[in-house]
Amino acid sequence: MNNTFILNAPLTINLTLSYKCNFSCHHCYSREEDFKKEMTFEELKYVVNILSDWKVPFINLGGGEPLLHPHLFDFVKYASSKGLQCTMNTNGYLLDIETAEKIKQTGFRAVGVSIDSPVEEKHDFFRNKKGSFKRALNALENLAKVNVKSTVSMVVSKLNFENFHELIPILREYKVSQLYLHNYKCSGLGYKNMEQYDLTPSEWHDFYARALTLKKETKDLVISFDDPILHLLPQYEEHHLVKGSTCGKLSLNIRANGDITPCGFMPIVIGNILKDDIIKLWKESPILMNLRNPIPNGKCKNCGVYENCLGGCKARAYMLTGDFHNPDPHCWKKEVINQ
Amino acid sequence: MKVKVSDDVFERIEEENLREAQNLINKGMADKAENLGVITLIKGGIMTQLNLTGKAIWDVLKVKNSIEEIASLISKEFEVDFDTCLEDVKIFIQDLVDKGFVVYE
Repeated sequence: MNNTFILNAPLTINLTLSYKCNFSCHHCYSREEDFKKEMTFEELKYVVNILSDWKVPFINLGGGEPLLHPHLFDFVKYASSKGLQCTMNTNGYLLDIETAEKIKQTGFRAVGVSIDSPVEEKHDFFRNKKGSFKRALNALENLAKVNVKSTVSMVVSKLNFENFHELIPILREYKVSQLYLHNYKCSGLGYKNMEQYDLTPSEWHDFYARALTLKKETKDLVISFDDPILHLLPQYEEHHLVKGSTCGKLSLNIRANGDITPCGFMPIVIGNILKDDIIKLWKESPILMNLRNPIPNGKCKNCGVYENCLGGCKARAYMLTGDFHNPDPHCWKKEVINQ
Repeated sequence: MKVKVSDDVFERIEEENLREAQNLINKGMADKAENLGVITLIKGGIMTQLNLTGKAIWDVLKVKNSIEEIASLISKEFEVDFDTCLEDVKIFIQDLVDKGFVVYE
């Protein structure tokens, strides 16, 4: 086996087709984005051609709400024909049975539905849309009917960190294969509403300890996390080929106007796919080089798990401190002062 | 013992790494070449990269399912002793089994 992990191209592209949305969720990173400059369908096909040429295998479609995009299914058909595997994250509101059938025919690899609380009223409140919980469950039901793999994404917040486990029986009922527990990102409205929704570091510690226990106990459903600070917990035994945050190392984000950022929550534009050579950017962007070769700052300098954690979520460190080399503000570890 | 590649394994050759590894071999720098991942494998959220030797075994694994036969072909390709090669191939395959990329039949 090799010792140096180098990818010649991203493995995953997170692509925003449009920032238009039928919701205005309290944590949304994109409600203040520019809706006017969005790629045309021809430009989106051009993007697919580039990604196909470079054998980028996975595209995850987000937004905004992808089901609002007039060319969503044509795009996925085209991308699939060029060998790309497409998944989508949706609020599920528009996912009726006809849409589920179209999803099936078009060839989506899986569809992720966002559910932010097992309690209907709380989910509807957080998503700012009455009836959204019922529609999300309806979406899962429709996906199950047409045999499309479904996953659920939950953004962990004060709204759900104590009773998130109550979602598990609901997911079983709708044959969901995977639950993604996303750490609270502090971008857009997520940043503005941070005080109301983000957990304290101590609460993050307690939450992850409970979530890891639940993960071990749950055999019929995969529970996944996207937070490198989990390495702080001794009971976290996973070993990743790519250490720390994977943004800019495994994946890139492409905004609706073609701008490329390391991740959707880190608004540092490194280029534009319509004008720039994405592979040249992948290999030579100073921002990506910095993300791949992080420098420990502050309490990270003397941290015994830095080798695996690499400072935690870079987007959060960047948004809250201005420097993605700084420790993740969610880190509960106290600074070790060497005498 | 029989083995086979698991279903739904995605693989991508890292073309530039492959060329670089082959260049290094040609320059007599095999040690450096062995550090380069030339093929990326992904299955169900687990990812790994294989170097030139690993890729050679992987390529044979896709068409042969007997560990002894795989070791025989690899030992001939790399001009190494069969018994040593067999042990190395077993360890290599076990690692891929542990990660879910290969299953025992």
